Amino acid sequence: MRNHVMTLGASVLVSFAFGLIAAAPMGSEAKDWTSRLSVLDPARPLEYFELGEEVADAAATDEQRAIARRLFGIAGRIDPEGLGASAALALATLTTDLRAADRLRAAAAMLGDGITRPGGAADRTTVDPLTALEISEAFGGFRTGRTSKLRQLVDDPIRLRLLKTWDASLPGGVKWLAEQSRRSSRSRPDLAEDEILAMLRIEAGLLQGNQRTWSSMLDLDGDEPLLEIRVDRIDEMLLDGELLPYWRDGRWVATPRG
Amino acid sequence: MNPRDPRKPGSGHSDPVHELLGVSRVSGPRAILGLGEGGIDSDILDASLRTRLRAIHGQADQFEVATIQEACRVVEAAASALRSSVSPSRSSRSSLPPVRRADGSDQLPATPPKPAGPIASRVKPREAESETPEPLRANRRPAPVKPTPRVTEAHLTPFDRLVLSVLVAGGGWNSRTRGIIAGMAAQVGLDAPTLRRVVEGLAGFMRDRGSEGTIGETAMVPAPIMRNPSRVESAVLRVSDGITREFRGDSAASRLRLTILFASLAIFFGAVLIIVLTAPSPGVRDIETRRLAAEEAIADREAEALLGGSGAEIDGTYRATPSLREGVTLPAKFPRPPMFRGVGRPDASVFRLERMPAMMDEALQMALQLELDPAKLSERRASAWLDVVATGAETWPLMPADDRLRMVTAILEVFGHAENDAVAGKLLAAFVVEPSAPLRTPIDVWVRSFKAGMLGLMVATPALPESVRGPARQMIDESLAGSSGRNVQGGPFAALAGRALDRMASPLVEMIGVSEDLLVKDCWERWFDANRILRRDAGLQSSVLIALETLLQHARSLAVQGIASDVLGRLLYEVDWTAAGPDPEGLRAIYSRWMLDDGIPATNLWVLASLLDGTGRAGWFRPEFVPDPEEGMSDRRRVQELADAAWPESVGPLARGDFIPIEPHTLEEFDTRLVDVAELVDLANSPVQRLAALVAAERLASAAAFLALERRSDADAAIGDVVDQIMTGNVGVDLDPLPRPRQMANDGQWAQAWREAGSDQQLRRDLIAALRRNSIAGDLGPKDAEIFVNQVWRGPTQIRNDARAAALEIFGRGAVVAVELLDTADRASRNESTLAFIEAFTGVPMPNARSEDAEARIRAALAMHALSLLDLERSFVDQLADVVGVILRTRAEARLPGEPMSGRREPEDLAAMAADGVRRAATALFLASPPSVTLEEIDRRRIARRGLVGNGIQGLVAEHVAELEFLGFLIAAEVPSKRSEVRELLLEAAIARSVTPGGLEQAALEALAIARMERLRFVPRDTDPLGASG
Repeated sequence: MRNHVMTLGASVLVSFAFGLIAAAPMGSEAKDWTSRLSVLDPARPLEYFELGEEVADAAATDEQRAIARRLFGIAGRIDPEGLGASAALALATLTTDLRAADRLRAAAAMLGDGITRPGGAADRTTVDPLTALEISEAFGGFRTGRTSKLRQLVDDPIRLRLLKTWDASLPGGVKWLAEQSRRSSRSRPDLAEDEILAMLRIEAGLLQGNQRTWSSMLDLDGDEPLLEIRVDRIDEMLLDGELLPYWRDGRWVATPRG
Repeated sequence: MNPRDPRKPGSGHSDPVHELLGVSRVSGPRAILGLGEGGIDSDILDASLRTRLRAIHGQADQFEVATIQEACRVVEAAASALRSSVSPSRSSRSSLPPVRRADGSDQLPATPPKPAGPIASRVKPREAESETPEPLRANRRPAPVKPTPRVTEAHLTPFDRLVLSVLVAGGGWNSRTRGIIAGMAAQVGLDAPTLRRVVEGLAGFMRDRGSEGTIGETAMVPAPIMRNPSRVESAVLRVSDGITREFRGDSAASRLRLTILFASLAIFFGAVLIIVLTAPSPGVRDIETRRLAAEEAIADREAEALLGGSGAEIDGTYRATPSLREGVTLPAKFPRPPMFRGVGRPDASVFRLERMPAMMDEALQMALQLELDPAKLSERRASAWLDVVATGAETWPLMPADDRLRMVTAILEVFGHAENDAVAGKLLAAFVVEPSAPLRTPIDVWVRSFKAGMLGLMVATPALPESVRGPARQMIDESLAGSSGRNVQGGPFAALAGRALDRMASPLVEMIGVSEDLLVKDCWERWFDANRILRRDAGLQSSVLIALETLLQHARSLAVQGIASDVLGRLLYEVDWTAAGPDPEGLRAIYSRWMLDDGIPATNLWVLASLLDGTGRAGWFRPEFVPDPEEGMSDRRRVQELADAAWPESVGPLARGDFIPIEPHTLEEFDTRLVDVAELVDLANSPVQRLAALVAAERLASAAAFLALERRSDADAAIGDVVDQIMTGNVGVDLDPLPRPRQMANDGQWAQAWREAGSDQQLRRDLIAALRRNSIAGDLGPKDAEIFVNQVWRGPTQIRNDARAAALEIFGRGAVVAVELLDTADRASRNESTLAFIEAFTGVPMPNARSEDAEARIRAALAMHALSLLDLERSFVDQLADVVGVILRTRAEARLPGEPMSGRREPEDLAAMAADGVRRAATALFLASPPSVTLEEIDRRRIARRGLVGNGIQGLVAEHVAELEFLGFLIAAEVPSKRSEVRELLLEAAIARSVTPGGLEQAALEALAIARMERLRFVPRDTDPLGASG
């Protein structure tokens, strides 16, 4: 017993030591960023961008990611013609907001040469014909009390994630459908007409594929407006607010002397 | 021996002194002095001396000076000789000679004696004779005179002679002479009676002796007693006497000398006056002196520099031509600023204008005659027609706009009836024009431009017969090839007349130095007149620049004062070189082109730049911009870059550019609908309403495109559809939903009967037939539908066929049946029969049963059909989307003529084609000034937006934005004056897109923006066929 306690204690100590060792490099990396941030000069915008890439690759915290975003933004603001497009793309990779990412990629296309289609929003709402057929058959079977196909659908994580796109539109949501798919009763569910409509809209939209009618577009996308990229405000997209290119005493300032 | 009378010269003696004195030198002093043998005193001696000297000097013009002097010397010598022997005279205060006593007593009286003389001695006895004895001078003894009945010279005493001289000088006895003689008499103590006797005696003497004798005696009047003058006084006296004689003008020579003297004085004073008035002030002289000194210093420095560089002596002729001096070329200089003005109004045209009413009548008569007989045109009428055309052609710039309109209308009226080819040919013969031919008279300028303008009008007037328009078109192609001028400000008349004026620049330049200067000036002046009538702003400037370029290319001797430089100066004057000009950007581009044009001689460019610098027309122009004509293209490029960098930015309205004239009422309707449709977009609050607003906006955008392309009927139809939609709500689709069919009552009852029928096929068929006989129900309930649809998919053949027939016939609009069909479609056999049924039921074409996508298409068709029956508004959306597609197709076809449009295309694809059409037009532009946004940038933005597109509606928006931006580029290039408005509209559209919550509304707003963008280049069509002349 005693030996177990000692072994346990030793393990704890070793783990703690390893934790400290692991933490030390992170602290030193932060210091490295600080020293490198301090020598940045607006006359050399590329250094901002390159440092931003390094910080983004090593970023583990929101603060570091924020630093990386700022570095990209500063680089793009100082040299929009040379680094604007690259900065926009880099910022797109760091954002979790899909719409913001789309806008940044579009801004990159506007700013740069040779950057064609950045991968648009249409890709997210378009499914392959087979999946669309499966969903339609699953919905149809569900409406007629045959849930096997629905069960297969919700058991597939990818398709489940796809169904969650219309979670708000589906009667009871995807969760309810999943529950219904597991019931053993073969009776038809009691669905209201608008619930049937909601399912039909999704089916029709998916089944039309790239040939969707405008009604299906409105059903699936809800008359979403086209994202507008203000050409005169691309600077603000890259870096909102005042351009403070100097890192002094742990903050961004406008002049070398802080 | 009596002394010879000295009053008789020319005695013939050789001794001039003898001749002058009248006596010989050796005749003795008494004879020389003219004294008798009687006693003399000093007074008498002095008097006689003075008398003789006076007589000698009186003849100075007849004898030489030496002779005169000698004679004077002789006389003086004689007086000197006698002076020693004469008794001194009694001193007397009176200067008058003594008066002889009346009683002849020789005793010296206490008072001055009366003068002795025949006159006094002959006085009649009077009562008032004075008893007072008169004094006599001691030395004077009156010479005894033999009594004679007449008074002679010997009887005259000095007092007598004095009185005689007074009488002669005074013009006889009058109040003046009376006073003088009375005074004289009082001085000598002569009483009145005695004086009277003296005067009467002298009067007798004067009668007896005449004027010669009288005057001779007066010359012997003894001068007042004077002392002997000194040598200086004598000299002064001689000079004085000489000057006196000269100024008296006694002789011709003296008069000539006087004339010369006074003329010389006049010239002298005149010259002094001129010098005083014109001579520069000391300050000016100082400045001029310093300037000359500075120029000399500069010249010396240049010489030193040249000597230092080359070591050789400078060729003086080189320094007179432009030479670089510290980076500045010496500009061309002219004695006066080059400029000219021709005759203001040609009199002949002014007079001819008075015939216009008669010409109008003639044209009217001709039109009426042709209307009655289109094939006949008499010789007289043909001749009158020429007169009508000539009158209009020679006077049109002088007319008011209304009169011009009437004249042009009258001429077109005549052409309107010229349906006969021969007649039309005769009428058109009056409009043959050769703009580039040499000009004979200044009015030729007006005539040619008028004819060209009328040809343009004829071609552009659809109401004229083809017999006129065809040949007119050909005539234009032959000599005035170019656009029809429909879209030119001022219309076709201004376009063609202006083109003719532009072509006339060549003959006008060729005239310079060949024709008389006066003719050249008047021709140019008429050219300016016509241009100002036809054009304004940038159009006018453009024409002047064409002429300027022609002059620079072909003119010679621009650097010397003459008609060529005057024309250059005038053309420069007509261009506004400042920032407020109509088109500074275009002007800069043209100037740069000239500078780099090898076809323009460097000397001409030197003169051009010199005048720009020197005349002050371009205050920003500096001497550094003047090119050195002896340097090559490198120097021209250098100064061109300097000028380009300093060229002022426009501060005023830019060049107007190519506006599109639209009928006023159409434009007004268009503007009204812009407002209406904007309101429609703003009020829409459902997908169907937003789509309806989108339809209206697309129609308006298409109408604008048609107007820009001059497709009037299509534009009117599109605007009419908009009006109809706004007024009645008609969007081309029946938006009234059909009522849903009634479900069959007692759901499940039929299903129960079906089950009870068991395997009785006939009964089952009857049940299906009963459904078909039920004309009320168009749909089944869920329970009945479940059974029914199962038969449709899986029933026995006949029952299946009956069920399918019933489904098609009765339940085509039944939503429950349609949903059931969708939900159980997987049970159906996949054969051609099933696909045929689905196609018939849904109306959607089905593929082959073996097709890979057959399953998906089956379900899609059934799902869409079911949706359309359950959600009626959904079908409206798709129907309206189809209408949008149709409208976009027409616009795409208009913007991309010739592009194949077969097959169904989605609205966003058609919008993309329309945008491509605008882009194609934009790439064909020649841009005088760089745009703010390039086509490449617009392309990048278009690609970027496509990346954001999630569906077809967003795709439509993206392509509309592209069409809008390309259109903005196009209009900014074609209508520079609208650049700022283009920018504002683009910004406004971008802001609207960023805040609009829906894609349909975005699309509608973009379509409206397209319509507004096109509207920027529309202007109301001027009703005056001569356009800008109004």
